[in-house]
Parts: sequence; structure tokens; C-alpha cells
Amino acid sequence: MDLNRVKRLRLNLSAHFSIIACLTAMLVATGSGTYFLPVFILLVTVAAFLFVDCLEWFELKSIGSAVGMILATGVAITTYVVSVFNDSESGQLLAVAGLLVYPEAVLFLQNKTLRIYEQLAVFLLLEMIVAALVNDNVVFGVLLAPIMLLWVSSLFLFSRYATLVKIDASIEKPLPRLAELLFQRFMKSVLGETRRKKIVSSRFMPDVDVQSSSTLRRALQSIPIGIGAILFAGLFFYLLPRTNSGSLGATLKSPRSVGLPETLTFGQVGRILQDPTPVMRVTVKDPESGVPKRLETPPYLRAKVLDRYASGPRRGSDSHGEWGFGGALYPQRLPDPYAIRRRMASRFELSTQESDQRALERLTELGRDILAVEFDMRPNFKSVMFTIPPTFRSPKAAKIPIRYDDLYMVIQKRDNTGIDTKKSTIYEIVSGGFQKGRQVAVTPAKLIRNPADLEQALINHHRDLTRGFESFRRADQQRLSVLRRQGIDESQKLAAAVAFEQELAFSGRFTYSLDLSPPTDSDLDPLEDFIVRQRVGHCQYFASAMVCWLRQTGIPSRLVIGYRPTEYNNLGNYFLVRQNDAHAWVEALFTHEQLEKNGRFRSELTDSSHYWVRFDPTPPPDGELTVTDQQGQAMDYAEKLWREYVVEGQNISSENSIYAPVAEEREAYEQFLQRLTEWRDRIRRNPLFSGRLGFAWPVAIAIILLGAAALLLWQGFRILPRVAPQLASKLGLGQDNLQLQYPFYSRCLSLIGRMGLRRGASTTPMEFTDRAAEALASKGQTASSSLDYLTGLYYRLRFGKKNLPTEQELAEVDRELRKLENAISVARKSS
Amino acid sequence: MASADSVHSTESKNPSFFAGLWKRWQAKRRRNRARQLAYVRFRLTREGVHFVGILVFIFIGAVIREINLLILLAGAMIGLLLLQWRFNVSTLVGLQVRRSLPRTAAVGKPATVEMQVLNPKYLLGAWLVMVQDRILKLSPRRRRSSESGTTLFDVVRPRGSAVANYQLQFHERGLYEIGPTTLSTRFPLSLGIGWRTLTNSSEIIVHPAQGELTQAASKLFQMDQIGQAKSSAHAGTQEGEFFGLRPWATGDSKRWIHWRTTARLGQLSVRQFERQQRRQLSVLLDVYDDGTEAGREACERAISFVATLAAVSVRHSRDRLSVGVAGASNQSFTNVVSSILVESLLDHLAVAEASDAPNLLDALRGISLPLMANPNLLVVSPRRRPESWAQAGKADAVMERLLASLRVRWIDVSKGDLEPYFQWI
Repeated sequence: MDLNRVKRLRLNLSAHFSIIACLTAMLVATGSGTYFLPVFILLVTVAAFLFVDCLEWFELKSIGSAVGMILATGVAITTYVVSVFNDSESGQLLAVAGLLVYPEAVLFLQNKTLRIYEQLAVFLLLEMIVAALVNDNVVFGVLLAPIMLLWVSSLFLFSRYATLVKIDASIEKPLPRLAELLFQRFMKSVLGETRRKKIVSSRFMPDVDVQSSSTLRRALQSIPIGIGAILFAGLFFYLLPRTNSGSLGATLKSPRSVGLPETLTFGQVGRILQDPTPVMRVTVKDPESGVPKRLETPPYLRAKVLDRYASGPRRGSDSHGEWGFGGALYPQRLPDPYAIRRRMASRFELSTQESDQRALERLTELGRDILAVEFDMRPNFKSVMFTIPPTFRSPKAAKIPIRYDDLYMVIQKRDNTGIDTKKSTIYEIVSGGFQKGRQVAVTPAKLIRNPADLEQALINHHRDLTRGFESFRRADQQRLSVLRRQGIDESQKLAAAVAFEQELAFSGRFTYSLDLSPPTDSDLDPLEDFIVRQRVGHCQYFASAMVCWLRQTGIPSRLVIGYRPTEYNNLGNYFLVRQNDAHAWVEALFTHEQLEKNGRFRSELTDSSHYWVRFDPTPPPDGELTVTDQQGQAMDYAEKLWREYVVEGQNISSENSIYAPVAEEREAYEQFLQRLTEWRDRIRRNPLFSGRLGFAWPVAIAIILLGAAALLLWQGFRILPRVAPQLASKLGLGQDNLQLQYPFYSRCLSLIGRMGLRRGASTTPMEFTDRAAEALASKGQTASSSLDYLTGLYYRLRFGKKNLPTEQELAEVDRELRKLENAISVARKSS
Repeated sequence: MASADSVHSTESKNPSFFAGLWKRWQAKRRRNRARQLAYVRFRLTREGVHFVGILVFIFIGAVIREINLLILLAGAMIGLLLLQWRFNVSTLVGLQVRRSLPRTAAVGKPATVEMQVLNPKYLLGAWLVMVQDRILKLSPRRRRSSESGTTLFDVVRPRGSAVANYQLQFHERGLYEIGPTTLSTRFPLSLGIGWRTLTNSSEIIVHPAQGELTQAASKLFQMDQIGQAKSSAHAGTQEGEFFGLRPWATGDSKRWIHWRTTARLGQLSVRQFERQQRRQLSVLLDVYDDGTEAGREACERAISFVATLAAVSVRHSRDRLSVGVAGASNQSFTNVVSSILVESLLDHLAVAEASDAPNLLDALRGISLPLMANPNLLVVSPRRRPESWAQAGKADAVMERLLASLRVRWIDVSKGDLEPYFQWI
């Protein structure tokens, strides 16, 4: 055997394993965030490849490798123990990864034998497990394919190398196992046996191609196998019941939660607005068809309503003015206008669903766009949920319970509904708050829960929402000066509100900034300080200022916080919401009559008597805020798909999976049945099958044409042997059909055919055989016994109902065919 | 067997289309069942066992900890295992092997065995197919060899064939069975190995090792220089004397056919035209086994000497040799004057089985005719001459006369009597 070629094969295999080791360590690193392991293994593998494998300058012998393994294990275990004491789960997993990487390094520094490669493969596979545990982002999926292909390629090389070693073990110097050495010594010294003399020696005479592996061929073979394995993995993953839980990666990353706090101070908002962490994805789409809709302006995602302001002087650098919620939520089921269509309503609920349905239809009549909004919130998100009022229940089955307070138009927090916040939460609502691609500013208001005491409830509501800023005299003076400047009377409530918004957002006297300077007067409330003195702040300052002025004018108003995303992902058709998209705006209460006179709001009115009107007094950065394309949207979309379909398996664990009929929620199964019924009805309604045309002529014609085609084809097969006998014989049709069922006899005929003899239709096999034997005998060759045997067997199989030739018969057939072939070739040469 | 009429009538009817479809489907089923008879076995390799162990570990971990990524990883690993299994089985099914090896070989000389693998499949090639032939010594003394004839095929293309060789060097004479052939492959991933054993054994006769005769060997036969005229008087036909045999060729007379040789070899052999012969050599080979290792070695040396004598003296010197072999069975070869007869003698020497009580007189009887013409007898034996080796023949008058006239030269190989006349190359 050519040892140089074998060495090249070994080098190739070592290179493969080195690259796999580096990539796998990189997988672990991208999940854990520490890059020590991939750097370490990269250095070791490069050094090993150069100095151990190529140049053969040094290698770790058995003692060195044993010491190395002990050291590696010691380091890894020590790291593990330390992380246990520090209660760090990520540290523990990294220690486990180290327990695999350090021994790998020791193996790489040894002389590569078959055993070493096996051990390397085991360690690398185990490291893949750790990578799958710590790395749940799309990088794992992206790197899995090349790693898989590399694995396949390396196993190709390994199989070739292992075969060569099996044939000739001398091509490598394997490390003998201790047990083997002891056994040999025992046999030699204690029993005194001598080796038995060999009766024969065999020498392997390999072809050049056998000892090396063509890269191109290996690549062409690896790719389909790798792709096949990945496809099977996908199929296996799809068929198996999957879980909905998140990966361990979620617990390893920073446990910092994103979202909005319960109460809001000015400093808190400032910090939130500097954080670009993605928090959720929001998709706006048609509720029936699911077709996404891109909005012309960024939507306002409503989270909380804050209606109580606790003022206080500024202390140090922290803002002490605090907004809070002073009411009580009474969350109930969302209005469900689609319930009747789903036939889910019981008799008692029917009237409620009918009124919900009418409400939605009315909104549609008044020009509103009814759109579904899907929220996909990341793990470790605070428990607040979002909505865009007016809110209805989605026609799709709800994956989580949604409870809605229609007075404050907010959805109940998740932790009150038992939802696990450690994983992503996806839910969908239907909103009537859009018109011509924009979110409307006017929302019908429900002011009381119990209509029995309407007047008093209204009075209380008004009172609560017009107080809180009586002591802000300087702010009040500013308010009055704004009204004076605009020439607006205090009784003109709507005009006053618009004037306040204009003053704050567009006058230029107030500036948006996240960089807040220290207070000049520590006894002043931060809000009043903003209005009177600083005039620099973020959205909460602006919104709070407007609420202050509105309430001082006697207009019921409140602060609303949520998010206003601007980045749109065109691939996935969703808004990416980041923490710094958090926003605060204002809602003010007006009557239908007040709004009807204003051209800006008139077109958005419905049938309600009162409306909450949204005002956004925060100055936009460059004119009006617009929807922009997300940077790096492909990566984010891939991450979304990866999380939905693989890591958390949410999207394919219910409706679309084969387990839908037995899924936990029975609506999926009933939807499936409903779908079948709709298809049946659709078929029945089709004119072709309904009989409304009197007679289904197209169907009848189609049947006739199909039948005619089948008849023609059948006749074609029948006459084909006469018209094109060669094509017919290739297709297995015609007279030779029977003979071709017995390949040995057809081989016999083809051999005889070399002598120019062809069996006619009227010639029996036996007669043809005799003729062939005579022809051979005339050329001095005898093959009559072979011909007799073959023909006899053909007769037995064909007519004697003997099903299968036995092994002996097959061997005998082979011999006879060879004899016949020899005789015919000699006869042809002699002629 | 069906009658010709029924065959003729059956074959002249065109099958209907659907009947033809049905028959084609049945034929395909039969082919598949025939393939199943070529049973391909599959097992995991050591690395495959490790692989499965890790796979089980991953799967259990995925189920217990509810981690979907591990299920994905397990699915990929299962996919690779399944691909390995299918490749192994599909690659080996249908492969045919043809072995070409010489009819005979000699001890110490390499014999090349050619293996041809044919792949009848239309689409699937066969890669990294290892072909191993079991080697079994049939006689004398049946023994199985730990070695096997192995060769490796890189690729056998669909509807194609490939040829590879391996060499065997035999260390003991005898009749060997080469085969059956085992086809195996680890392709593509070495996670498992599939193998299939065929029933295609062949036999090869390994002639005894040959050395060279020294100059002194000719002195062994110096007692008789005549040979020529005496042997001529007893041999020959109307056409003249013949000195050897050759295969029958066109034009040969049927009267020249040597029926005995023809029966033995299975092909027509005719006498060749006579040539001048030089000497009549009569040798009695005593294949005696005393049960010791030294005795066996001496016996083999004796056999090798007689084989060398046959090859050298007859082939090169055209001496007429008669050999009686006394061992577990007795055989005699008279007038070994041609290559074919030498081959036949060597074939017998290859499988001659030793005995602890060979019947020398019986073997002597077989070569009595040439001895009557030339009573010089050379006995080659691994033992010293026993006292009573000729007494059993005293009842037979002919044998008594023969024994009385014999001039016996006894070579005791174990004592080194052969050393002056024979050496290894």
C-alpha cells in the first residue's frame, strides 16, 4: 500500500475534524457569549495539524496523553464546582463544554489512529449537544447545515480509512490497549504457546484510487446525503410531538426583563428610551385572509393608562414626579363578533355575540378598516399586554386567555392569567382603530360600567380626570399665555387641546432630548420645571405637560404609555418593536358634538356620544414620524422563523401540525371539521355538479375524452410490437415479454444472437436451441449441454409453475452461461 | 415439461394489456424476492454503536428537558443512520462476483487471484466494496486459514464491472478451497457495515515446493543407463513410439487417443510422436508420518524431492519416470514422460496424505511393470528402511520375482541422505 497516499488521507481527515471542532466551539460560544473555547481549540488544532500531523515533529505519547487528560478533566471539574457555588447555570454549562473541549485538545495532539478519530468523533458529537442547549438563536440553524455536510464528508473519509486499516493494520501504529498487552504476555509466558504457522499469506494489491478520496466526488456524494439527513431531521421534527417550552438559552442570557414598569418616573422613561433591545414583533393583517397590511404611519400600541400624578421635588439626579394608575380594572372577555360564524355561541350568549357582530359591522360601514393585530412578545418580557382600541376578539382560536377592560381599553397583565413569561407569547386581537392605512386618533369611549347610575358616574369620571395639577400655578400661567397667543377662549375645549399640542410639538419652544441637565431649582416639580424653565425633555415630559394643561383647562385627560414602532420588516411583514420605541401620549375626552365641528376628527367619528381623542405632543425628530425599513431584516426574520418553528415550536404545534385533531384546544379540531364541511358545500354549489345547467356537459365530455384516450393507449400497446418491435421489447411488450421475465434465458438468446441466429415466432425454444447447438458444432464447439440445461430450466420456470430458482440453480445457470459464452466467442473467432 | 404444442400455442398468443401489466408486476415481485434471497446482513460498527449511544442520550435528554433543538439534532443523526443502512443494503444487493484463479499453484510462489465484480443495477453504483475470500485447506489435513484473500473496489459503476487482484502465497501443499466470497462495505459513513456471503467457492491445488537437484542427483540413477532400448521394445504402437501426450487436435486419428489420460483429465489426449528417451527412473515415495514435527518436515522434504525430480528430470531431461506413492492411499504413475502427466503427478503429490503405516508393497505393485524392465528402484522415505517392508509380497509369485531382482536404493530423508542430491532454492 502506498503509505504517502494513506498519510494524505489521514491529513484530510484530521483537517475535517479540526474544522468541525472549531465550528462547534463557535456554536457554543455564540450561545454563551464567551469566546475563550473557540479561540483555544482553534489554536490547538492549527498547531496539531501543522506540527503533529504534517511535520510530525512531536506528538503526545501514552503517558503525555494520560497526564493531559487528567489535567483537562481537573480544570473542567474545578470550573464546574466554582460555578455551582456561584449558582451560575451558564457557568455550569460552560464547564461541561470545557470538559469536552480540553480533552479534544489532548486528542488532537496525539498521533492520529483509528481509535483516536473515533474518540474525537464522540467528543465532538457531545459538544454539539451542549451547543444545542446553550444556543437557541438562528446561528445554530445556519451553522448546522455546513457542520452536517462537514460531518458527512469526514465520515466518508473515515469509512475509507477504517476499511484500509481493517485490511492492513500495519498502515498505522495503533496504541495497544493495556488488556491486549497483558493477554499477550500471559499467553507467551504462562501457557507457553507459540504462534501457529500460517498456511497461506495474502497480499492486498490495492488500486491507486482506493487509497485516496477524490474531493470533488466526495463533495458530490456528501451534499445529497447531508441534505437528505437535514430533510429527514425536519420531517422527524415535524412528525414528533414537540414542546412549547423555550430553550435553556433563554435562562443563560441576561435575566434582565424588558417592558414597561408599573409606575413611571421621568428617569425610568429616560433609561428605557436609550435601550435598543428588541421586545416584540407586531403584525397587522386582514383577520380573515391573514394577508399582512403595511401601515402608512407607525401605530400606537397601547399598554397602560396612567391617570394619577404624584408630584414631588426633584432630588439629586433622579426625577421624583411619578405617574400611576388610580382606578380599578374589571377585565372581561373580549367582544367576539365572529362567534356566531364559528357556531360557538350558546343560546344565552347569542345576543351578546350578535351585538358584537353589529358593532363591528357598523364600524365597517362608517369607513373603518377592521384589521387583526398579532403581538409576538419575547421571553422575559414584563407581563403587560398591548392593544389598539376598539378591540375585538380574533376569529382565530386564542392561544392564551385575553381579558379586556373596555373602560380603560387595556388588556389584563399576563401574570394574572397564569401565562409563562419565560417564553414568547403570541396573541392576536382585532381592531377597528384603522382607517385608510392609518390608525385613527378618535376612539369611541365607554365611560361607565354600570349604566344604572349614568349621571353620577359621568360626574365622578370627569372629576377624577381634571384634577391633580391645581398647585402648578406657573404651569397654568404658561397655559394661559399659550391660549392668549393663539387667541383661543378657554371654553373652546377642542381648540385649546389642539393649541396645546401645537405649542409643545411644533412651536419650537420645546425641544426633545434624552440628555437631561441637572435641575436648577431643587424645590420645583420636574414637570413644572420642564414647562416653565427647562423646556427640554422626552416624550413623557411632553405628554405630562399636555395632560397638565388639559386638566387645568377642565378637559378630562389621561396619560397613555406603550410603544410606537417605526421599523418594518418587509420579509416577515411585521413591525419590530424595540425598547426605545416606548412612548407616552395623551388621551382627552370630548363629546360627539365637540368633535363634529372639527374637520380633522369629523371623518373618524362613529355613533358614540363620547370619544377619547389621542394627542401626541412629542416633537417628531424630522417632521412626522414615518415607517422605515428595518436594518438587518433578513436576519431578524430568520430569527423569528427559527424561534417559531424550531426552538419553541409554537407555530407548528397546533393548527398546522398533524396533531391538530388531537390538540389540546378543541377548536382546532372543530375548525378542521368546519373546513371539510365548507369544501363539501363549495363543491355542491359549483355549477358543474349542482345540476343547475340541466346536464353537466363539461364533465360528460371530459369522461368521454378520458375513456377514448385510455382506449387508444391500450390499442397502441397492442399494435406497438408489430409497428416498432425494438421499442416494444424495451418496454417489455409483445412476444418477447415472457422471455424477458427470465433474464438468464434472454441472456442465452442474446448470446446466440451473436452468431446471427434469432428465434422466430413460430420456433419453440427447444427447436431454436437445437439449431444453435448445430451451428456451434459446425464451428467445432460443443455447448449442447449448456443450451439444454438453460432451455430446460426456462421451461420448468415458465410452464412448470416453479416460482424461484434456487441458489444452486442460479450458480449453475451462471456457469452454463459462461460456458456458452466461451463456446460462442471461440466459434466466432474461428469463423 | 410442457409439450411443444402447448408451448407453441401459449407463446403465439398476444397477452392483453392489463394481463401484461399484471404479469410485469408479478415478475418484478419475483425479482425482488430473488434479491431478498441474496440476503444482505447489516450490523453497527464500533463507531456506529457509539453514535447510537449518543443518539439515545440526546433523545432522552430532549424528551426530559423538552428542548426542541435536541430533537432536531436527533433527527439528523437518525437520518444518517437510516441512510447508512439503506446504502449498505442497496449497494450489495445484486452484485455478482467472478473469480479467476489458476488451477494450480506452488508452495512459495505467489498466485494472483483476479476478482471481477459486476453491478447489474441501473442507477446505484457500489462504492468501497471489500471482497474477501475464505481460504480453507481441504486436504491433506483440513485446516482453516486465519488469512483471507482480500481486495477492495473503489467503485463499481451501475451496469458496469470492476476488476481487482490479490495475491496468495501458500506455505503448505494441498487442495485449497478459495471462497465463499464475502462482499462487505462500510460506505458511506462507516456507522454500519453490510455484508453478503456468496456460494462461489473454487479450488486450487498447491503443488509441493520445488527445490533444485544437485549435480550428484544424477548418480542416483547411474545404475541404469540403458532405459532407452528396453523401454522402446515395450512401448509404442504401429505409428511408432510415443513419449508423451498432448491435447487432441483436428486431424488426429482416433486410435491415438490415450483413453486413460482422457478419462482422468476430462479432455481428449493423444499420444505424441516418440522421442529418444534417456532414462527409466523408478521412484517409490514413502509418505510416512511418525507424528513428530521433524518427521512431518522430513516427509514434506521427500515429497518435494520427488516433485522436483518429476519437474526437472522429465520436463528438461525427458526421462521416463515411474512413481509409486505409498501413503494413506496408494497411487502409481507409470511412464510419466509429458507435461500433462507431470502435472497429474504433482496434483497427486499435492494432496498425498501421510500415513503411519503406508503399504509400500502395494505401491510397488503399481510400478512393477517398469521395474521389470529396469529393476533399479529409488525409495524416498522420511524413515530408515524397515526390515519387513518386502515380506508381505512374498505370497505373490510375480512380486516375489520382482523383489528378488530389485536393486533398491533407500534414501532416509530424516537422516539427511537427501542432502547431497537436493537443495532448496
